[in-house]
Amino acid sequence: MRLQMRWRQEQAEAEERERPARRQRLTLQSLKQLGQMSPPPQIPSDIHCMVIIGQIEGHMLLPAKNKTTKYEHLIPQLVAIEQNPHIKGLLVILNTVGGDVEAGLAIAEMIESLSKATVSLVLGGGHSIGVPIATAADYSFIAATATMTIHPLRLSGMLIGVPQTYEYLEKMQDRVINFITGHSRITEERLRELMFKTGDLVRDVGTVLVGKDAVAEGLINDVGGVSSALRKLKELTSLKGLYRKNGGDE
Amino acid sequence: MALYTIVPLEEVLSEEETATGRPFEMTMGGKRLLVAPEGPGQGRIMQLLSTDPADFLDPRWHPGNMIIWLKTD
Repeated sequence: MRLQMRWRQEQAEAEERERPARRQRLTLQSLKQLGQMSPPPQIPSDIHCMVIIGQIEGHMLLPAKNKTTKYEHLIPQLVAIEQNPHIKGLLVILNTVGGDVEAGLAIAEMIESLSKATVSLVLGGGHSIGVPIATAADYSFIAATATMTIHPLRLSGMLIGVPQTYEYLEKMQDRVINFITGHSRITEERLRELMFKTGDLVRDVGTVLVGKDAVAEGLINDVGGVSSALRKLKELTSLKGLYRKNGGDE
Repeated sequence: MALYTIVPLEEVLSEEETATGRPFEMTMGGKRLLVAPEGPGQGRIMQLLSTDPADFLDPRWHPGNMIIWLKTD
């Protein structure tokens, strides 16, 4: 399959302004010769970035109108990040409304078990199953205006009306609660209290935590943005490097 | 199946008529792209699937770019 590409003129011009003169001449040369722009020189980065947006899609394809994060992508990417010796840290950026429980927990467990330094940053929203993912990183940040909604699990689809269904729901919910309490400073009691609070949400029970509220409750480490997250990541990558050099096993 | 989300389930699971076809993945220039087809052999980039931040600075992969591919049948 032979591939061709087209450009937006404005984007090409913006890139041009930033390039030093010599590179500009080379680019024009390649444009004349091949009829296409050569890519900007890749500066290898030792920090990689993973964005988790929209609905986290798990075992079922959601209708096309949903913006989704496909967990089957993230898993091999996380394995590659773990294996690649040049990558020292991972920044996980979240703006998700939640999604499939198993996929979400799978991603959370993978992030948690990475030996590289991980920092999570909740921007916009880190709702529902986004909460365990945010707490899975070594250090978590939340933007001052971001929100995290803590609410109980709901089952969808065909349900059999027996008490065992409720026990199953409890078990699923315990998985999520245990992960969150195991990776943050919040107590199980307080988390359950937030989960079942009435009065905060219009259509549901639960709590909406905004920025510093999430930090106050012990779910998230600190309020911050991209610069604080990257600074922390640099700090953690150098610490982990020292630990590994001194014979620590990760 | 448990969807743990704040979006009401009827919103998530309702099917809507979309003008373009369902987005699919393809590889171009060594990068994985999510492309929404807009006709035979052409489409619009919706997402660049990569963890390398440098890839996102490359103007070739900006979401919204039209791309064309020729299929040999």
